[in-house]
Amino acid sequence: MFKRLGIIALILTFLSLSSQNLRANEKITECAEGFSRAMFSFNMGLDKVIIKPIAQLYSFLPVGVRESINNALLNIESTVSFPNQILQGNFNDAGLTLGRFLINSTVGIAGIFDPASALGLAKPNREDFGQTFGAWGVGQGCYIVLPVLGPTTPRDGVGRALGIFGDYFYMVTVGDTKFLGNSVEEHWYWYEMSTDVVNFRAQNIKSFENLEKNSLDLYAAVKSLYLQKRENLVRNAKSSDGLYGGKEDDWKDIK
Amino acid sequence: MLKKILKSLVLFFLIFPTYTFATDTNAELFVSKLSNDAKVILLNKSSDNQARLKQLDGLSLNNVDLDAVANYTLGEYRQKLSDGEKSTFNRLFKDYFVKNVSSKLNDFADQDLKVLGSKKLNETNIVVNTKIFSKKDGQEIIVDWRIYFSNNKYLVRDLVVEGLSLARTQREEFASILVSKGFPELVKILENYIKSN
Repeated sequence: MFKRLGIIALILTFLSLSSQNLRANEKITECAEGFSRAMFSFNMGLDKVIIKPIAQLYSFLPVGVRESINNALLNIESTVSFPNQILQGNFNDAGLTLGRFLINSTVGIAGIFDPASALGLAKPNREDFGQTFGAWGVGQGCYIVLPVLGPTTPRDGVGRALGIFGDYFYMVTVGDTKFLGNSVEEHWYWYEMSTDVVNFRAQNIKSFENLEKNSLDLYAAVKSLYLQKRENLVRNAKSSDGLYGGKEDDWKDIK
Repeated sequence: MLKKILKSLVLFFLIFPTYTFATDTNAELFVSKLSNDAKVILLNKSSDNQARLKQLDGLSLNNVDLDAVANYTLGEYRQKLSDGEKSTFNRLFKDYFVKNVSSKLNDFADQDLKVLGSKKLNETNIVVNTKIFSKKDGQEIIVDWRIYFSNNKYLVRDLVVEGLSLARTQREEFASILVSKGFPELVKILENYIKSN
């Protein structure tokens, strides 16, 4: 226990050394651009041969079935959101997440249906440990693309690694924690992870094809979109809120 | 001292309860009309794909502030270019943008747009908030339009899809090429794109 806390404290200290004030349009440098570009090409190859074909097949499933799978995945992922909402001091959202999880896991049959929304419990923002670090003021650091795992930054990478300790679903599948007195087999964790990847890819087939077709530098476009997305998740922004009108509006010099 | 604080507080509460962003219904109508015009072109079965793309090109040319978007996408590099280079870039950017957007709009045929509201940033800049519904897969996407108003005309400057700015993405893509390969290479890449699309 103390060893684990020690590791967490060490990581937090490392992150705080590179902490910056979070702001929109923050410029992120490359950790190792040559390596990242090579890994990006490798991942694109992997996507072309394995992930995209599976996602295309998955897209043939009826909308209702895909919606149910999406609901179940969101329900499982809420076990990561819950501790992070607490760590960010957002107790209202944490309450909503817990309420939704309890209702959807039982009445909604393992999260396949979403009766919580019908009861008026709106979906709160999804949170992870990288976002929590961001909310605490830790800067992203540099940008890197990892093999298979894809784009990340030291903040999000550490968040992802730490996420394992705070992910209840991981603990009951891969870890030793019992769920209602029973052990859940490890393979369920890997099923969930791979379904999540395929589901995400299927939702973005058209937009990514468009991006591939029209980008002059696909690596740079994906980097920009990833970093913007992470910025928005930390700010809990789903639209242009906070992007325009302020001091950092980068259109202000354009006549 | 206490009097000063009280005065400031009174002033604060006088100003802030009424401080809200003004809306701009004309900008909202502009976005609504623009999306309807695009749909009319896309759903016109009497014209072939080539003719439809040509009409979409015209729609983009008339409704997007292309010179401003071109300047924005050059970012800091703008200061380093001569007037001649800037005008070459603006010309190429116009062709690149129009082809790029027309290809994206082709996917818009099965989607419906609903204007949710607007926010006036200042006299010339407005953000129009919309939601796009896809009938095919039941998805809803939040899209904000940055609109510029000048000479009695509304022009689009940026689209922010689910919080992701298309203009910013384009600027960062260009910046990557400019930093690693320089301006002449960017010109070459743009020319190749235009030729092959």
